[in-house]
Amino acid sequence: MNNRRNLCPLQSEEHAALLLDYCARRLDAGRGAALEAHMEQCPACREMRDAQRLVWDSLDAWDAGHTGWEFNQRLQERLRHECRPAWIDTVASWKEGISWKPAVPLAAALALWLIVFPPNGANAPQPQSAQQTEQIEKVLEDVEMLQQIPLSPR
Amino acid sequence: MAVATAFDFDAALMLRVRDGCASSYAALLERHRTPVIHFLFRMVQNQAIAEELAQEVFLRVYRSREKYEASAKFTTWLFRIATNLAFNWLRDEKGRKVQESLEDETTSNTTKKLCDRSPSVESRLVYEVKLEEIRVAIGLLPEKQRAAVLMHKYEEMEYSQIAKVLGCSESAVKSLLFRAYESLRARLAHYG
Repeated sequence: MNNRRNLCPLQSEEHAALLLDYCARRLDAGRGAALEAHMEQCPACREMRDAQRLVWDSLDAWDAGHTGWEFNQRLQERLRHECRPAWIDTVASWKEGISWKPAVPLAAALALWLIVFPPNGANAPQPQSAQQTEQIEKVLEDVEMLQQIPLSPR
Repeated sequence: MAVATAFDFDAALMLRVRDGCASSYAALLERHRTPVIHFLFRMVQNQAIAEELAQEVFLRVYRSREKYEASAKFTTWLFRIATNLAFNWLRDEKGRKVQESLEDETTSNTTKKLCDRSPSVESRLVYEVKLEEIRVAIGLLPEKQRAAVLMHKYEEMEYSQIAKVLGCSESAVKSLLFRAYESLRARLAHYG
């Protein structure tokens, strides 16, 4: 620093950093004292120091505000999306890539076939109508009534 | 690498993130969310854009976890991502009148803060004008100078760290800062 004492910080950008550090209170005590001694002799440096302090104070006044809780929430959602297994995206993109247009005439043809040629229902159990059920019940009642009649010889 | 890990708590956390530790990621987010958003806010001067860019920063941190090596200070890496994103955004927005579009949001925020700080209308207006001049003065700095000043002033980074973030030499950083503060001194000199 002794060598630098005679160097005005304004004479080189490299040395001006010392003055910036001084104003930012980042200079160690020894170098700070040396610079202060220099500034007593150098009006240009004093002027720069005063102006730099003003800048420093002005920048201190600039509050960047606060961040809401939504930030973390949004990030979590995006991370959840990031963490999804790759196959989900693959399937999604595959689904997006499928064109359903060719299937439409095929489905129409199948529907028409079913109308014209309904499936053979011989093997399938037919649903009983209410009328048939009534008939069966009546037959059963008749059988029961007949059973009550004594079959004695005349 | 081992040295960096031993002295950089953040790098240690990031190495745990690499190994799948979600709580370490949450801890990193909690530690650096506000400085990153503030840095980006002062770079782009828009709260919504700053938060969006900060989201991207932390997403990139997460995406890069498997490739992460603690070869440099974590904050250097983090701010390099943030700075690059800010530069890209500023370049994309070049030509637009960004300042005008930012007026509403920033002014409303400022007014809210001012109400809390100063009771008198006069001092509130003085503060508002001053703040606007600071914003303009910072906004007029070239991107690299702006980033250097913000990291130097608000993040209290060493010249060597700023140099690593910006990918230049230490003497280049000192030169950037000298010119940037020179401009700021000229523009803000009347606040005596």
